[in-house]
Formats: sequence, structure tokens, C-alpha cells
Amino acid sequence: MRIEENSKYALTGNNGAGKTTLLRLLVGLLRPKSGTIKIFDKALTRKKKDLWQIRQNIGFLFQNPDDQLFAPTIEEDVSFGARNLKLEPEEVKRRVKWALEAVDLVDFKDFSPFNLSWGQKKRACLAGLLVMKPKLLILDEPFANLDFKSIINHLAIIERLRKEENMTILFTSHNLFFVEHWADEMLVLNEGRGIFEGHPREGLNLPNIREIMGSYDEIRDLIQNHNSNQKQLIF
Amino acid sequence: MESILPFRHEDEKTVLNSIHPVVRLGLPFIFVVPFLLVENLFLIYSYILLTLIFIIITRLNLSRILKRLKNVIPFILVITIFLPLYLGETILFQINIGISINIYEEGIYRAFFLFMRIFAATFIFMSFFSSLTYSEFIEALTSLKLPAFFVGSFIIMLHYIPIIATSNKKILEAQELRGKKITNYWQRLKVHAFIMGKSLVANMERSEHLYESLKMRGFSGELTFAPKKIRVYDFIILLVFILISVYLFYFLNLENIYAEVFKLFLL
Repeated sequence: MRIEENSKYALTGNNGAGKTTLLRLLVGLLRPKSGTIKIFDKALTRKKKDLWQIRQNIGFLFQNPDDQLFAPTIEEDVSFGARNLKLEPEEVKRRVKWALEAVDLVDFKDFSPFNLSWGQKKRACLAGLLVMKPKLLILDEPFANLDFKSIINHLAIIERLRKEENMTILFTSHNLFFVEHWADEMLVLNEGRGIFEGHPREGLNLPNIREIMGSYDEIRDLIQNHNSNQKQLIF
Repeated sequence: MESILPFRHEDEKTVLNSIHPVVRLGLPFIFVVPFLLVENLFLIYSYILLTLIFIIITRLNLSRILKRLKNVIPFILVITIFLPLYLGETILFQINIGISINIYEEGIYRAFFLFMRIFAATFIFMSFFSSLTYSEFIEALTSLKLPAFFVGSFIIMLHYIPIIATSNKKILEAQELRGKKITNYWQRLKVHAFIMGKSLVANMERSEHLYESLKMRGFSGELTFAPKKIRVYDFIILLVFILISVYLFYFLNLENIYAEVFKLFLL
């Protein structure tokens, strides 16, 4: 698995395929039993100091925002990462302001995470990563549980930031629409093993991948078939 | 979204906003400590009355405070209800249901007194805390120079209360939709307790995720938050409350006052 700088890389596969596990391995939250992981040309080690050196450049957005937000206010939570980078207080302030503006949450900076909607919480989590100015943004199911409008909103924010800050995006999704249309490259996982790496459109059209992952055509056929059955029953 | 924690939403403005959070955190202690030290029912009534006046003046949401208080009352009852069965010497009633159960006069008085003490303390704390936002509450704890480890753990604990409560509610609703009949409060409480046990185990994994997310952002073992400074104005408020409390405690004969008021109403 190789990810190019400033690209959008998707990790896809069915539930339980190992997407999140792989992400956690990549950032050193889990240790591999075999093999090596290199990030920014540095091998992942067990040493805390080395790990922090690597993690400073990685923003990891968890699937559930309640797993990330902990501070009494959004502003405090967003500033957490920046303060841990030992930046000057003025710089921390400046970055927090910028990140909150980037995710459109300035008006909510004094709010407690309890009082935000799911979409707002997700954006607050994103701001918490942006303050660290990561080179690599890892998004675990970034659009799960979001309504269409929020997805559009999120996508616009992430895309704008990616371009402005030259960030590389690695995301997991079992939503084939995002994988096909958003990612430059993808890795398909099945039962913990990579079975395809390459361009999404190419991969998603392969019969074996369609067999494992299913496809929109399959869903459409199923619905149409079901609808026509219903009509036959009524008339 | 209304949180189950006894704090104010950031959007709700009260006249108390200008008072430093640590002072607002300290005020209920000034009211509660006297009646915990001295056995005087009239003192308890007086502090409840004072708190009610305080709620009205500061326009706190009384109905919300009472709603939250209602949820706590069964727990206070559980603590006190058995006292009359074993405390005291003067038998007031005797119930025979195969075995003889005595209900003691002294026990009833002790149970009532304990109930009033816990009830009043909870009411006062809930009332004063409802003027604090969650962040102000944490700020107050930080200002008190409590160990960072304690404040950090407390924050994480508070973080999970609404999450566990919400997931409990959802499980309960799912059970009701699948035909579970919950007819009364006690039954609901029993089911909640059962679900709570299961939820706690499930939420262990969530807390692990939270720890991982903190580690990813450079967590080194301490959570720190910057508190604001306390002003002279805040000390004056604190002093006023202490004076009211001392006056009530030392200089007023509350029993006589209540007796006179009672007479006035009877006549």
C-alpha cells in the first residue's frame, strides 16, 4: 500500500474487513505482528518520542465524534492538539481561530460538545485536527450518519483545506459513491487482506470486487424487481 | 438538545453570568454546610426558602430544577425509608405479616430529618449549578487548583454520562417497541439498571477510543484548562452569602419565627 502526497486514497471493504484496524496500525495505535509501516519515510517504532514526531503530522478523525471531543468547550477541545505541540499561546489562539473559521464553528466556540448536533461535532473534531496543520488527514468513515446537506458541507470544507494546505487524504468508506467519485486511488480489503489496489473506477468494475462488495446496479435491480412484483400483486 | 447534566446551556443568559464560576460553585456550600452541622429542621426550611427566593430573583428555570429533582427523590427515599424499622425505642405501629414488624417513632423522625437534609442539599446544589454552564463548572474546578488528574478524570466521567444515558434510552425504546411493557416508574428504573450494566461494558471500548484520540493529539497524561481571575466583586458576593448564612444560623430564632407565621396563617 503506497499513498502519494496530496492525493485522496480510499480504504474500502465490507463491514469487518479491517479498514479501521489498518488505520489504527498506520498511526501506531496498534502494533503489527509482521511487516513494516513507513510514514513520511520514517518507520513506525514503539518509542513514544518517535511516534509523537510522526503523529504531529497526522490528523486522525474518528468515526464517532464522541470518541474525540472531551473538553468543556469546543474552543478548548480544538486548542488541545496545538497546545501539545508546545506552540506560543498567540500562535495557538491564531490557529484555533483559523480552524474554527474553516469549519464554520466560530459562533459555537464557547459551547459544550454536549450541545452540538452530530454534524457540528464532526466539524469540531476536524477543527481539532486542523490546528495541528497535519500533512496527512486520516478520516474514518467521514460521512457516516450525516445528512446530504452536511455531507456536501463537509466535503467542501475538506476539499478546500486539502488544496489550500496541500494535505493528503486517507479515508475509509463502504459507500461506493464516495470511493468511486472522490478517491484518486483505493485499496479494497476483504477479511483483513488487500485484494485490489488501484484506480477506483477500474477496481469497482472488476467482477470479483463487485461480487464481494456488491454494486449500485445490484441494489437498483433488487428494488426494481421488488417494485414490479408489488405491481403484479395489486393488479 | 437538553443535557441531563444539571448545567445551563450556553445560549441561556442569566444575571449570574457576571459572577465568577468558582464563586457560584462555592455558594451552595455556604447554604448546605450549616444544616449538615446542626440538627435543626427550621434551618433546612429556611435555606430551601432562601434558595427559592434566589431562583426567583435570578430567574433560574425552576421547573427544570424540579424536574431533575424529581428523578433523585426515589433514591433519597430508598436511603431513608428503612430507618423507622430499626431505629428507636418507642413503638408507634406494629405490623403483623407472619412476622412482627415494628415502626419506631424516633426512626420516623430520623428518616424524615435525613430525607429533608438530602433533599434540601440536592435542591440547593441543583439550583446553583443550573446557573453554571458545563465549561464554567470545569473552569471552577480548575480555579480551585484541584489536581489535574482529578479534573481530567472528572471531565471524562461527565463526558460519558449523557452518552450512556442516551444509549440507555435508545435501548429502552427499542425494547418497548418490541413489546416490553413498562407500566410504572420502579419497573423503568429496574430495566434502566439492567441496561446500565451492559452499557458500561460497551462504553469501556468507547473510553479506549477517547484515550487513543487524545494520544493522537499529543496527550501526555495531564489535561489543563485555563481559568479566569476572580475579581473583588466576586468576593463581595461570596461575603454577602456568608453574612446571610451566619445571620440565619446565629442571630435568628427560627423556631419562634415559624411559629408566629404559622399562628398568623391560622388566625
